[in-house]
Amino acid sequence: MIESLLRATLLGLQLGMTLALVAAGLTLIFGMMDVINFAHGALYMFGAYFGLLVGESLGSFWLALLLAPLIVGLIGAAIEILSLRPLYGRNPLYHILLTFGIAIMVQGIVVQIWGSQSRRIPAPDLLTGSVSFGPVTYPVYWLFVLVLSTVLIGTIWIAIERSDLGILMRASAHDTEMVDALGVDVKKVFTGVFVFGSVLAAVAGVLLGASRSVHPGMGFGVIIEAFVIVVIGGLGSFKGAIYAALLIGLVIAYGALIAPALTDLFIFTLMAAVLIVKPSGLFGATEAA
Amino acid sequence: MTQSYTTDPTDGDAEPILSTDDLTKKFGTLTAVDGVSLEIPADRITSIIGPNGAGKTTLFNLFTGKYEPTEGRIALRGDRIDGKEPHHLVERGLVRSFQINNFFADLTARENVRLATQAPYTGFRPRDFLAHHRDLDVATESANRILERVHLSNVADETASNLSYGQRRHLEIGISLAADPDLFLMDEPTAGMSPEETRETVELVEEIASDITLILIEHDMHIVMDISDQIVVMNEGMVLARGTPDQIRNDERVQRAYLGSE
Amino acid sequence: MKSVMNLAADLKTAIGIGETTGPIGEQVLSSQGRLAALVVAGVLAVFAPVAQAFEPFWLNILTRMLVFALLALSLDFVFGYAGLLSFGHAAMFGAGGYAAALAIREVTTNALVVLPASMLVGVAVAAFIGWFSVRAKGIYFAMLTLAFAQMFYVIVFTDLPATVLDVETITGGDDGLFGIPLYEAIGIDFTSRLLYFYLTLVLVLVSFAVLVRVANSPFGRTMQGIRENEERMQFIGYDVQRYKLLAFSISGGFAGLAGGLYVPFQSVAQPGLLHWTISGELVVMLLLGGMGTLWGPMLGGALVIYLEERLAGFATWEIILGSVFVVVVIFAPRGLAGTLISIKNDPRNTITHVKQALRNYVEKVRG
Repeated sequence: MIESLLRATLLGLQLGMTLALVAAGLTLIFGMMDVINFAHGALYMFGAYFGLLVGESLGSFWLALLLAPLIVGLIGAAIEILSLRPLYGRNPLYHILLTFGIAIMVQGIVVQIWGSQSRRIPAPDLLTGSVSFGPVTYPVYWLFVLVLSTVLIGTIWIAIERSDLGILMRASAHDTEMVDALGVDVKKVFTGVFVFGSVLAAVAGVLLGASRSVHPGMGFGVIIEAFVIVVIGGLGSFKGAIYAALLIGLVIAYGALIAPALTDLFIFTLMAAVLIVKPSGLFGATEAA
Repeated sequence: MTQSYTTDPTDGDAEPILSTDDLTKKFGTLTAVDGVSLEIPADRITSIIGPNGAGKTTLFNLFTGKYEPTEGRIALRGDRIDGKEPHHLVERGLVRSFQINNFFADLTARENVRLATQAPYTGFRPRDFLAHHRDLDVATESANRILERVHLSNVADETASNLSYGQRRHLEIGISLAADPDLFLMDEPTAGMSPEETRETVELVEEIASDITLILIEHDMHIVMDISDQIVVMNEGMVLARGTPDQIRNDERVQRAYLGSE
Repeated sequence: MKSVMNLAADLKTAIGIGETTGPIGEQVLSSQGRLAALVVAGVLAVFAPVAQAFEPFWLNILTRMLVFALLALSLDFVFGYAGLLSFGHAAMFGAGGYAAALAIREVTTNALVVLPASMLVGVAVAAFIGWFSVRAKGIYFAMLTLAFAQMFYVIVFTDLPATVLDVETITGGDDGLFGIPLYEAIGIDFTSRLLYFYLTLVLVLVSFAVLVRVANSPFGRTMQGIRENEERMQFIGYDVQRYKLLAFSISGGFAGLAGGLYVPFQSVAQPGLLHWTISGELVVMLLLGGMGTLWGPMLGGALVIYLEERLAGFATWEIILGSVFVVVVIFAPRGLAGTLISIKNDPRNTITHVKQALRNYVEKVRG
């Protein structure tokens, strides 16, 4: 019993931290640009598939982990410049619609190129096998995922809290005019944030692509989880997204112990409960208006 | 700091239409309105003045049901209204206008007002769903009367966003008037107006005050001193002083805390 | 007539640089528009037996197009017209469908009983979701409706009711309910596909007429006001939350009706009906058709189903749908309806508008 609980806790933290990578981008993009990015799951999926491509053709997981996010970053830049940029200043609803269209498109492209069967990125030899902590046996690779995503998230957190970048991001989230006044090109900042979010999503895609499976439905699957996280944490709040991601990760892991079929129900009930009690989410700065 | 009243406010025979008791509103650690106890006499003009952040607009938002008070109570003609929703208060004759124009920019002036005059005539009966909204003649007639009252009859068919600044402010007032209030809370009716527009608006405000109790938030001291029966001075969420324009003019604390600083 | 002119003025700016949702006019559907709707219905009615004779498959597509036109219409009534961004309409659609399946299996195949029941279940589900959601605004409303709709999906998918009531099955779990027969009513046997098509056509037409009527009523006017400026409507004296809840429930009723028509026609009720991707696809239909016009989304719904059917063989189907969608969002945010009206009002300048839109696009991309 204790054993499975411990295992579930580790699993929940690992899942939470990887989901945090996806949710962090989503919440930053919303906070900075006011864009609800439905295509974020598609970018995550692209990450996994390009990881697969690089991993299989070059035979190296490490290269996949490096190159796939770069490719997806470029795709993110193209999406932001070619399709989002013309829409700034319009009703934000159009951002949702546009990115939803892109998500559908990407799913089609993935099926077209890679087919619809489920695949898996081969994990590196270095990380195969498992380790034991007392009674718990846990795969090395999963531990690696937990450590790497925690380090990434931690680094970003510190960067946002401490650096000029963080100040800039927070300034622009509150007031694009203020950023203008700081002498920064808002357009470049937007592109940068979008690319950054895309890269994070792609990293998560590669990491989970070697532990969960890679399939064309994964984009729409993860986007709903990520939305739930971002909404629970408070749209636009980085801190909130991280806490909520851990919460959801643990709910999924523990839920799987109790009633595996009902984990989705737990998640959505949790989200609905949070929103009803606090419409702006746990760390939402503004009233829901 | 304690509550401080200058003297008995205005003529004591007027029944208070609105009164508050120890009204407090906190936002997190910030106390925007702090233990305000007030009486607003009926059929008079009361102005609320004070520096920015003194809690005037929060007070309005409490009066009109936008916020629920953290502590204390509000009564309209003796009945408690704190925690009631805005539309309930409108039904009881309490309306407000907004500091920043808050209407339907794409509709004509008449349609804007009509949307408001339609409110008491519609509900959830079958015909409210199945009749054509234009067939509601009472609403149209009433809208036309309102437009005349706020001097906008000649531009009734203009789209609201095409009106001049002064006309838009009058439309803002007109929409609120449409609910046929007894108590009207106006948030800076003359803000940003030219002297000519200001003069017209002050005239309008005085006309309205002939049969409606008014509470104004206003920054222009000349207007405040000129038209108010009672002035309430707020500072840091509290009532600093209350009295007739003459009393306020001569109040030392007010001069120190507020007038002197201008 | 004035409304059409307003619309035209709106739409000139709408192509390429348009803003917000549907038009604010005096009238939701002009007399010309009503005539057009009747003509379309008439053509469909005449065409159906022909299709039946030569290519029965067509009758199938047409019926499904009609059902989704109805579903898109129900969503547009709240989404485009009242400004409530529901991302959970699949719940009402699916609930109506399951209600029909269960009623047909357990009680009666009489359409006069089952279809009203589907509507009522749609209303009930919408009222439930709406009760918790209408206080949230904009994107938060969208997220809440999405979450609640997914809850219903999970409930159906895992057959939670059966577990709770400790019976073998109610919703059929992930398999769904199979072998649902078609309706009969007042002595007419709708097991004939042609008659079922007519039943659907009539109900879609009636629903359209009713919703247009409601949109033009004082209630509809109030909903428009709430869409444009919710806060002010409150301070004018409207019980905004109640209006929103009611509009959402009315819309849910029509979504339930669509479900009730769809399930017997397909002969199965599957959990996929309630999945959020259906809600997403519905929003696609709305935008392609033209939000807030009521008739536009019906075209959008029919068009998407048609394309899906025709292109189903191609793996590129999703790429095409996605690309069309992206292009529409960027260049014609008022959708098919907007483009049609713009061409009708100003046919000569169509090319100029297109050029203008492209120029705007290039300028914005360059920054």
